[in-house]
Amino acid sequence: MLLEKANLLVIDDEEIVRNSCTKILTEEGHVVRGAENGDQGLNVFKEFHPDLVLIDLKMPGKSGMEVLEELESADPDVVKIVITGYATVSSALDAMKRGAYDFIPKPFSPDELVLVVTRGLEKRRLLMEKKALLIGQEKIRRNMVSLVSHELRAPIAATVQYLEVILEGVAGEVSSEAEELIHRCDERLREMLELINKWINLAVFDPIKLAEHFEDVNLSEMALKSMELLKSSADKKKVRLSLEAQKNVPVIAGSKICLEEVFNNLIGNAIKYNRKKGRVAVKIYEQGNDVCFEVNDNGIGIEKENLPRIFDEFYRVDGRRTSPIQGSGLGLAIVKTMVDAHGGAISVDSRFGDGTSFKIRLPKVIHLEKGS
Amino acid sequence: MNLKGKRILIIDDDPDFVRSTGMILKSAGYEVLEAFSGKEGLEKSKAENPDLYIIDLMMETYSEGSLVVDALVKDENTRDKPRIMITSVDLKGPWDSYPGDEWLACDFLLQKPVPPAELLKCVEKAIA
Repeated sequence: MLLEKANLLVIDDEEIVRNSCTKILTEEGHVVRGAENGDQGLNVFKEFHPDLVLIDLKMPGKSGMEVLEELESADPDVVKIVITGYATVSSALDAMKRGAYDFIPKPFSPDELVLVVTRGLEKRRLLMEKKALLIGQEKIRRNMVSLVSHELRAPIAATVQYLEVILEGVAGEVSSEAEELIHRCDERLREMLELINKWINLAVFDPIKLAEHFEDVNLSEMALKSMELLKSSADKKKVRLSLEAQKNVPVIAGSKICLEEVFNNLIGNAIKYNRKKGRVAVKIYEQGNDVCFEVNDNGIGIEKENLPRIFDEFYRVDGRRTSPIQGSGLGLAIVKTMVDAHGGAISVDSRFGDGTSFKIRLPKVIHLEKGS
Repeated sequence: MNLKGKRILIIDDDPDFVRSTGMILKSAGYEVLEAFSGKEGLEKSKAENPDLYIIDLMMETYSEGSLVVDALVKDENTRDKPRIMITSVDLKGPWDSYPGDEWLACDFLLQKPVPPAELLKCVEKAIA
């Protein structure tokens, strides 16, 4: 099936070409709009949503090749056909390289035009089908992930619920040793639930969707909040937390929930992998176009050969799942994903036995002056 | 208001969950009714006219729980009865925020496993 009624845009400085194209293609049942130069064409393109665009390569002002490139980057799924004044193979080839699907040399007959446009619209239909298929597959994948997560979680949740009922004494008296063992079961299973949650969230994470909900974020406020949250675990290890934040540090565009995750993970790690009476120093400052956020600790440090892998999913430095320090192996993978989603960068510097320093750079919000 | 003896209908296709939840509620003096599918739940609802519903969101199908809620809301006999929705779906999934209690037309939305004390607190609040 062809696109029987398509939206077509003709960008050509010659009125006679625009009019004849419009006449011929309207008779074919399409909706045709014309534009007499590149800029006008780009404007019409934005509000008309054409399926196919015919572009004259030789126009005063913005060249056809430039228009082609801009359209290609705006929407590669819109079919572009170039009209070449002289049937020069080289300029046609050049245009094809830049995203044109086909070319038609001037002068052309009505039949030639219809043929080229029909072929172009067939291509458009295939592109649309492919796109729909990809969206469908993505939907299936997401549903699949949430279904699997539900199936993984349900038995664990049911088991934990039983354990809690037993612990409440509802099913009869529990010896103190049994109680201790059940508590351990309960804890291990809850960790597993947490792990599933984290993994699923990472698997379905969509940075584009996230960016739609970005807001102005003050990193100093976020750091304070995170430090308050983690204060009790720091106190337990007698680790001292400090914050050194530049005054009036600019806001960045981001998601508070995700950045909270970043802060909690980095500061949490700095406490967890620290020594008793260690220090964790958080710094926030402006640097060029970025706001930087550092977490420095004087804890156990990371060996050089392990550094390249610390952002990998499920990678844990000592590799032992039962080491005294509990962790999912997902924390830094999440941090990296979140930082990337904010257009930022993360780097790490560590000396084994001396401490570790993480530095994150996030682009600050630039408010454009009027008229610029 | 005396809550003892209030009748609670648990609708969940996971028999283990029905059992443990039932034990918690019975220990607090509630009477417990059980249903293992949305359909059975609605039948029991008609026959027994319970005081509170505890409904699993994802049973046999993805949205069976919310269909049960829809049916309860449509029926004027059950419309004003308190409802608690329970699910093993991760509600705190930080990056794909989940629609809240309002969307589900329930008094509470809880995540499995529910600590017994929290369950009882919600039941009390919902019935009161």
